[in-house]
Amino acid sequence: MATGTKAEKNPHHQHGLIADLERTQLKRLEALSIIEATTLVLLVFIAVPLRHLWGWPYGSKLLGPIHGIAFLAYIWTAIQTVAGGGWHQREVVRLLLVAFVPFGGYANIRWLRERARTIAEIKQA
Amino acid sequence: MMVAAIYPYLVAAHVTAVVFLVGGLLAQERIVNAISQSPPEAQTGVLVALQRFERTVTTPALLLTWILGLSLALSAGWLSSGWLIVKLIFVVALSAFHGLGSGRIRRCLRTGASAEKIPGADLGIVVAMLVIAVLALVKPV
Repeated sequence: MATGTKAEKNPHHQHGLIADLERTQLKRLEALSIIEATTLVLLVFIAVPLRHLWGWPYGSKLLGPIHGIAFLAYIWTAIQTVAGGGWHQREVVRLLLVAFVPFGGYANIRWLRERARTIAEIKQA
Repeated sequence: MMVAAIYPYLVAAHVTAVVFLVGGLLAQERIVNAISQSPPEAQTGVLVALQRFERTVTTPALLLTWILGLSLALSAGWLSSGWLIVKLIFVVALSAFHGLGSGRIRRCLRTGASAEKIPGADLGIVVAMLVIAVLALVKPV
């Protein structure tokens, strides 16, 4: 409550924070998208072949749980992002589907940056 | 041997993270409930503080809860146990609720809409936590 009172006394700080909320959220989703995509690519194209073709299981033993956490963090952040509103159903489906496709997360980068740019332009107008 | 040695510390860290997560979720619902009757402009300061609290406390607690919980389940070989699967349903529901709740706060701040309480949400959090605690301690199946 004390922080809220402080923010009320400082409207410029509060306005700036609200204006940056969506952009920060999109940046967070982009970062998690890259981490999720990278761990999936490393797992599918390096660790799994090493395990099955050369009998070296340690790569997948290490990367499996790391990718699992990265996947959960990405899906959760995607849900948190779309819960903020302003997303079409098709965009929500796309956000969730790319997590299952190797390299899919990289397709998010340009899209999310364009969306952040559009938000910034709307705010400036 | 090494897993057995660190097991109680992993449990302690997991329980601590859960306390912060559920406490944060409950606090968020109670505060939104308390301000829901106020006009939107009067809610903004509290919502900004709630959003910051969510980002610095509840969400890191959620991430730690998952990392430590999955580490415990993997190390003890519980992933195929019935009690853990049922527990995971409640954990996923609480996690999704937190994601939707924090998105709701962001939406209210962005659009200037009034934050409204979700009927029964706080009771749902308490019941879910009770079920999770019983399943984790009793491990019935």
